[in-house]
Amino acid sequence: MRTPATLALMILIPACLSAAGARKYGQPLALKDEVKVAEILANPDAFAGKKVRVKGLVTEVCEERGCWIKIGADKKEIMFKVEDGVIAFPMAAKGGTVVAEGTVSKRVLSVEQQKAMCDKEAKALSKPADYGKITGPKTIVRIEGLGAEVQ
Amino acid sequence: MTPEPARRAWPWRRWNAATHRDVGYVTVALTLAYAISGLAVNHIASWNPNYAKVKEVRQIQPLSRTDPTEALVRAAQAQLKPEGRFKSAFQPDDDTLNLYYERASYAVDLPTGKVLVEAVRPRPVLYAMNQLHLNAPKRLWTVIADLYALALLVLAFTGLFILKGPKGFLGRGLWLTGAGTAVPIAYWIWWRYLA
Repeated sequence: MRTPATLALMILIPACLSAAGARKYGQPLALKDEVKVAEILANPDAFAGKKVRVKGLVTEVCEERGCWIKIGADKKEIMFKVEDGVIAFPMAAKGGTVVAEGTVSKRVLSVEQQKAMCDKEAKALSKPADYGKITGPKTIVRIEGLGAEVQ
Repeated sequence: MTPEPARRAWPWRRWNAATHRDVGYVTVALTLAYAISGLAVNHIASWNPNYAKVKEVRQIQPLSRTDPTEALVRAAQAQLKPEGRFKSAFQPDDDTLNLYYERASYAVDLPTGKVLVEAVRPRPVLYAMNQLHLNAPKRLWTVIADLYALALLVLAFTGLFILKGPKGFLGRGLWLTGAGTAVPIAYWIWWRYLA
């Protein structure tokens, strides 16, 4: 008869072994070819709407919900945004090596749209809206994340 | 001829109370965890319910922005003497070097030598509660969370019929249940259509 301690070891040892490898988030990675972050940022129109696989370091993690990370490589960073609640990156991922897949999106925010976002943020945080950083239309290039592996 | 004994009605109220009691015992830990986590996450705009963050500014000798990253990492480490396991380094631009350690990150401004040190610690217990509440583990936890939601439904319905009489559902229960139901409905109408 197996003792509870033996059963606990049978559960814990595979768990520890899997923890030592890459931590997987979301959908399994499917693409073979990697694209450089710098390439996407240099020519977002060519990649917009396309599925890409990128590799880099996790340079930032969303502290509140783990709903985005920034992937850095070759002195460039791109945001990898995941659906809230579907994937949650832990802060411990910061500084790790990540291979991630998702769809590149490009959005141009007009001054009015940025002001509206400022108003919304100000209302949520109960503070006055700050339009100081708005200097003109802003282009946002990011990856809508599907899956990632962090080592 | 002896009269047939009257058939006793099924004591459903007793079973109802017993179900409510036992499901309540089983789910009390999860209910507390979800309630505490709910309070914590509700106020996410004013504090971080998952992590406690400590920031510190340190000063080291300025470093040459023309040096290769590996040399900059060695020079910064020699001056900072960080604790813990070194994970990686990254230069987001020519003037900045980020060092990532197991428990902290260091952002070095190379021309001035100013270093922003950020140490992040998961809040004990609360972090675990929040992760479970937000179903971060997925897999089997999804099933457990579904079972818990079903248990809450059982608790809600059985709770309505524990007592009979003036303090039962058809007495004060009806008023209080009505008031409790009116709050979310009224708020939704106000928020969606009137505010």
